[in-house]
Amino acid sequence: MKKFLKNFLIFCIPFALLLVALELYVLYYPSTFNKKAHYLHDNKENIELVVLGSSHNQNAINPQWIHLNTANLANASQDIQLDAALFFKYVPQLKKLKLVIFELDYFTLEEKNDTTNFRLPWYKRFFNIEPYPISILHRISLYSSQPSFFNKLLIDAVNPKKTKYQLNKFGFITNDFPGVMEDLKYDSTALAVTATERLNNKHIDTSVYNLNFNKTKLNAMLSYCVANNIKILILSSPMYSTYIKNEVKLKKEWNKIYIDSLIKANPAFNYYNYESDSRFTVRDFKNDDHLNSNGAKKYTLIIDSLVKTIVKN
Amino acid sequence: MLFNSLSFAIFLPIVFLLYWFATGKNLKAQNILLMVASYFFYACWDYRFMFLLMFSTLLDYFTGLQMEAAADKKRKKFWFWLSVIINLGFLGVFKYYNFFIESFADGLSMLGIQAHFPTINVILPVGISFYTFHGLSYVIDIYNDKIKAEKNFVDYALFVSFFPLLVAGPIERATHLLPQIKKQRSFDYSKGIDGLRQILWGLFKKIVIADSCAQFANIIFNDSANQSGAMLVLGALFFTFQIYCDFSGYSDIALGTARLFGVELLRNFAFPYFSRDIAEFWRRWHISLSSWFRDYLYIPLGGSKGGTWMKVRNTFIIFLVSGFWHGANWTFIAWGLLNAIYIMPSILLSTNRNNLDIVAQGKILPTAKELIQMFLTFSATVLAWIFFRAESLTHAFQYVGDLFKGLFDKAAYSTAWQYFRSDIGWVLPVLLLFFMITEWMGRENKYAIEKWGFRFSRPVRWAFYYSIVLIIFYFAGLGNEQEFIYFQF
Repeated sequence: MKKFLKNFLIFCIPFALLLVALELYVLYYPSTFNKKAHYLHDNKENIELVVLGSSHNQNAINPQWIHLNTANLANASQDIQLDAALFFKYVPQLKKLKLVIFELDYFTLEEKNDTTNFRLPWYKRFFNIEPYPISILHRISLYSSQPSFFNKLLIDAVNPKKTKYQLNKFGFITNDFPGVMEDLKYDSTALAVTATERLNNKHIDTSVYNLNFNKTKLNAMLSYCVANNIKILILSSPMYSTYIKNEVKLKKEWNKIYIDSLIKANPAFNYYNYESDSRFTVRDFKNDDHLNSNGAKKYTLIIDSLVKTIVKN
Repeated sequence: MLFNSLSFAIFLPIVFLLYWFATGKNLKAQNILLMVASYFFYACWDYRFMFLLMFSTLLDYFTGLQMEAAADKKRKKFWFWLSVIINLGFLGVFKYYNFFIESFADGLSMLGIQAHFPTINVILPVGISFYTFHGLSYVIDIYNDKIKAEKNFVDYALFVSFFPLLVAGPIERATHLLPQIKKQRSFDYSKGIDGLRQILWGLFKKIVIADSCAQFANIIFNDSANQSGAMLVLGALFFTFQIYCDFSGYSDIALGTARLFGVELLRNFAFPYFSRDIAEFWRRWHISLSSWFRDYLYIPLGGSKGGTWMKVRNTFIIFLVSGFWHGANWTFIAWGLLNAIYIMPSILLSTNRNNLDIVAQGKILPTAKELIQMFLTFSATVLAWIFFRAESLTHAFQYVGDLFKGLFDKAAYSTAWQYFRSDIGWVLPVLLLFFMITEWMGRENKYAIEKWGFRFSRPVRWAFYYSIVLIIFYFAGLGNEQEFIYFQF
């Protein structure tokens, strides 16, 4: 038995080392999460603007083009519960904070993760927040949260033919990856024809429970801002026409009712809806609901001029 | 808890270490530990069905004792039938009730009578077909005075619930497994290594080959109406490899795991795709089930002793029952029927025991005749698997009917080939080739890599194992994990 265990352990050593190496890679490779976390942690004393939201704001607002010291904490599939966890963990620590940008796109209020979202352990690891329960294994090993994702990342990293992510110091991805717009050569007809198949089931779920849950969380964040004299900017990001056509009317109505009531009750809130803004053309989009780097620059500059006005007042 | 899951990778070493170190090698303690671990393993699927397993175990244990204590044949018969009826009753309710009710209603509707019968909405308890057959073989053997009833409840409960075989076999016999459970077991280094090697090969088959093939097979079968004949052939081939690697992979893991605890389980597969005729295929595919039906159904029905008609009738019966055992769907019955038809010529011509040896034994390559025989048998099997995999008989017939669609369309073959090597490039075709060569080279052993590299030095052997582990890791990371097909049975 001793010989068996000894040989087995010796056999396992390279795999143990490989797993450790993978874990270290996952922890230290320049991801949007660790870049954003590092920037935030290193600049707590100077952050003046915080951006929250999902991949829409993540891809749309490049802090590089904003005159205030900005931390864009928006991430893919980040719902309001995660927004709130980040907000209440960090906003009280940011002494120079002047403004918070909230994302309120058409789907935002009814979106809620479940515990299977593979990015949840990343929030724990990089921001030390845990609004959703995380398994012991995922606490120990970030790699285990989504091995397929990290395997692909690793393989792409060593594949010279693959485009590598380029991140600026704010954790914003500055280079464009091929998206459906580029794939279909920005042909609006082709995009319209293929939209139904592409956008099938995209952001169509309706849930009164999620709506109420998210409203409560969002209201709590807004109230905190009001109480602490932090300005609020609520934005609906630009979307391509195919995405807008796919929207569920009921959801849109609920969203509008909530925003109207919010603004009516608090006229000082700044709400701007860029969803159908005609300044954004097909060439500003990566896909139906995400801006590319050109679109992001255009959008961020518009937002920056707004920020200037809001902060001045 | 799947064999190819992280939780099993944690569970197995814990049980292994406790088994050999914490029990002081006391047989009673080892058996209790294995029984508790097995129930825990089963409860991980759904704890509620643990009570069904307990009940089934208690029933067979109790009726076994009663049969042995029965003063007369009549009483013995009573206890025997009580056990058989309740066991099959559970199986009937959980697995077949809805099928019978719906088929009956469909039959009435064909006669113009509209009838609505209540159906039940239950999940099929995992492994119920397997542990029910364990229990049945036990009570039948006691009834036939082949074995004595087991007095020790823990030993009997372990025989039924031993976790490596609990959910998908091999279907063990009391005559084979119970003596091992009752015998003092000591750790054997070479058997331990052999167990790990078989687990490794099972994981390779399941995670690398079966789960990858499943991705393609599912896409093609789910959209078969819009596929060319070439693609449909490809889909059927993918499923052929999927089901073999899925089930034999599971069996390898089960056998290897059991060996780590000093237990030898029945062999379930013996390279069936290298069979030269259908009879040989059935001696090599799901051996524990085939032999179960042979011993407990075919032979009691008269076997091959009663003339040609009796042989034909009994062959059809066991193939139809075998098909039905797999699931409550006409597709499985059609699959069984098709196999019965396949085997009929060899039954009628008494050539069904022609190929009892291993193909091309002692040689590297088969003869041209053997190659043709293997190709024809394999092709017939591929065709039968279409019925097994299809959602319904209509789907199966549509699939088979479309197989020859665009038979001479070069573009269709080109698309199929592109598809075959897409996604992960050449990796899958190369791995399939490697797999088939390895299986062929190892066909004289219990499993393909049983004696691989024995003549090489340790670094070479380990390099081979490391490569296999790395490939498994890579494919496991792709997130294509599929449940074992036979868990649904």
